[in-house]
Amino acid sequence: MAASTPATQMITLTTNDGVDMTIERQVAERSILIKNLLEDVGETGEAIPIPNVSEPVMRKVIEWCEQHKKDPPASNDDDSDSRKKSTDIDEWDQKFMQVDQEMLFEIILAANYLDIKALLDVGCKTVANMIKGKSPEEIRKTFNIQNDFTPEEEDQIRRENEWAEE
Amino acid sequence: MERAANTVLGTVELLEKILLHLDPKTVFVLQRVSVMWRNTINQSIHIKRMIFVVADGSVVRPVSMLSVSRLPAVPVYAPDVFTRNNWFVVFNASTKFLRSSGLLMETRGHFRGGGRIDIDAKGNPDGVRFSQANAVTIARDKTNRLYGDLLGSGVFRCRNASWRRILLTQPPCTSVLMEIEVSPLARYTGQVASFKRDRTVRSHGITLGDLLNGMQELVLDIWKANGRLRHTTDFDTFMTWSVSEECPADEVRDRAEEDWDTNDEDWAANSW
Repeated sequence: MAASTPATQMITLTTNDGVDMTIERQVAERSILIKNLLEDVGETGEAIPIPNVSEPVMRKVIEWCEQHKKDPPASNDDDSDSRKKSTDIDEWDQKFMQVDQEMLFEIILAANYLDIKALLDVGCKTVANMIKGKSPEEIRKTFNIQNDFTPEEEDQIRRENEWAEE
Repeated sequence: MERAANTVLGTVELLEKILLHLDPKTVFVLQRVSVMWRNTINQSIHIKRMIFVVADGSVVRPVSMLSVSRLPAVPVYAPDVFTRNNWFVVFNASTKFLRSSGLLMETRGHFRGGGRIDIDAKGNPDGVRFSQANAVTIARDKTNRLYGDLLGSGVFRCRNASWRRILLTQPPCTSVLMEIEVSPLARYTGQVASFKRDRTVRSHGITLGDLLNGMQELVLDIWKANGRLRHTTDFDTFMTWSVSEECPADEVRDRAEEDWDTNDEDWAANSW
């Protein structure tokens, strides 16, 4: 094992656009993917390739991990408690998520790939907040989604759920 | 453009995660966004639990409700329903002490609406149709989150409306106590025409559709008991439903300390 303590140990990540980023191991281990990788591979000192994430996105993700490096580790029972979650987001995270829409979804993809559950949650909540109060038409427009229903199908769904429309 | 958005919203697992952060009523409407959104909502067990169309946990064993309905209620929880202008629904979840066995939790909801009893050529009722809902309480779950409302004349327009499949409580109950008052049928007897029924409907859990069917039966019972009318009759109903279930004491005790909204008095004034 390396002589340095885990808290100050540094590791290097290589993003998919070829940029090396050196960060604290403790910060990187907010990512379960990287944590498992480090545990499996052991201490090689070599850069870890992150093929699905680009440098600008990785910078944002690391910024989040720095802020949350002292958080308790994520629990595994995500299915059972997902029901109780609200769309409340803490203030720092809210500011952090004030990015353009493409970056927001890039962060979600990166969090999903890197297995950072809490960051994925914050991203999903942010999107949920964008959806709230919008009609299906507005949602299609906002996220550039094709309406692929036949008029008959759409009409049937509309009638079945007419009671819930504002 | 927006590649990442397409990837995220085109991935079932991620779309599911996003939808789980929304309120159930919104999720019903979002089925109309696209085929993929509809399929995700219809096929995800987690979403279906969240929107109350699939049981979350085992069904609640009914407590004989006619006998407990006379016990004094101890209000424990005032949901935010009272602060919303568009809900004039009274909702009350309260505990009652049930001997030594622990706490009994009661959920109540009200329904006000209008409808019509049609009479066929022989003078028999041809059906009870509801035409308007002025207020319907919808379901609560074990954390006492409220679900939504049914208001307006469009509520009954669609026979396959999705609200009919919504479970009254989550986890579901198999039994509900209904008390119904129907006017102007009372006019014919000189007293309030009301019925009360301890109703066991479905082993898999009572839905709002079951509640509506139960109301139709009760309206017909009242109609029959009030000297058969020979013509089509318009009526107004006021119905309360209540579900009583045994609760782990520690789950409820925390809430017993919380402030109770003054609307509790409104509720008491409304009960009969």
